[in-house]
Amino acid sequence: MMGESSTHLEPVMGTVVGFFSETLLPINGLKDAVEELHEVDRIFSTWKLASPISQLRSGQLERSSLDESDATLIDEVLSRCTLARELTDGAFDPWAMPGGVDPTGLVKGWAAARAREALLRAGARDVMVNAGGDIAVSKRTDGQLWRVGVRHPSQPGALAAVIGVESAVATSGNYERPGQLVDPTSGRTARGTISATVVGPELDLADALATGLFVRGHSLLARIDELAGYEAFCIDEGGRWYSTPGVRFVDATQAAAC
Amino acid sequence: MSRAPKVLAGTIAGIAGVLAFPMSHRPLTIASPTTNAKSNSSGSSSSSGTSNSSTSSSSSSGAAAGSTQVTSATGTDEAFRYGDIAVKVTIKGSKITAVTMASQNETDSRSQEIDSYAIPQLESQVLAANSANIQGVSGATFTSQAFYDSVVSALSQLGFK
Repeated sequence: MMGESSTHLEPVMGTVVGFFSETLLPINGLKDAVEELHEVDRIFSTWKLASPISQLRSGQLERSSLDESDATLIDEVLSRCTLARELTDGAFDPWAMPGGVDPTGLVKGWAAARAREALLRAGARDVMVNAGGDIAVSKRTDGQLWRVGVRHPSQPGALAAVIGVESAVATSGNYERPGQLVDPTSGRTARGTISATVVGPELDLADALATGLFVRGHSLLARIDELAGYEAFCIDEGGRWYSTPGVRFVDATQAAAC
Repeated sequence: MSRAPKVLAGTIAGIAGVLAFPMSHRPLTIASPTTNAKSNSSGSSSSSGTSNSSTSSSSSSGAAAGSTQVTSATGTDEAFRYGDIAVKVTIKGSKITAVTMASQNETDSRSQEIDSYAIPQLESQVLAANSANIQGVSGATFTSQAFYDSVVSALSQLGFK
């Protein structure tokens, strides 16, 4: 089972990003993918005061005085943020964050998807990039779905569910930044929903949609369900589950027997 | 009587196909598939996945699978917003088998809550690669710079870049 599989762990972007493949990871592709992540970290880290995004936030630099390639990537991310803000009806809003625009909620997923593409360009197959729980995978060559566990929102080390994933999945929960997710439209701390998972073709959107679903609650599921290829579920404080019809839940006993 | 289901179906369609259903999912522990099946069927899921003791048992069961030497290193003690922490990383060969808290000195209960989530999160992400029944774990990882810095320093002591 583990025969040729390979794993690489890269500390970057304030987390540890895992690269997994059931075959060997091409070393050149891995190198490109890792460089991609460090580059994204350099540009988008809000922890680093000298990063381009930090300088934009603090007003030390204007967009026009940024390095051109950095500015291009920032434009791309911010346009994805605009789309995500529209799709979530404002529940995901990087412009409502204190201290200026903060695309962090979308960047991690965006970066992981770019890393996956770098691996695929180098000939990798059956790859999974897990950026702190935001997961981008390539379509499996055996035609099956990836089986991904969704972290239990209140029991450390436990899973709430196992779901089948073709491209991307992101989960947002109160274990992320306890008490810090605020609904931008009401200004109130998000309450009620303790875990929100979005599955779909693009990880950056799934990441942002999961944040929006966590903040807004299950009323956002109808909107997500309208997006082609996206499915979602969430769990509220009372332990109730809400799901769009297309989530591919893997039966727990089957998963254990595999 | 036969009308009731039709009304219900109409209502569900009316809310864009979104279903709400309470589910009595018992949490699945992240461990070897055999351990999983046993703990689930016995229904004693509350005894697992609650503390560092289960963390160490799952990592030791992972280590039993091969004969490669197990080594560990403790990262630097990093100050963070709520106190300071140091993270211990254990590897077997080139695989990380456990990430645990070596020391912690915190100033409030909230940070303890953060810690109790942080360690299993990173650990399970890593251990998932060795589990036959799942291939990855979705759910955010702790993003404290202090935690990250300590992990990085432990990894570097162990010869990871």
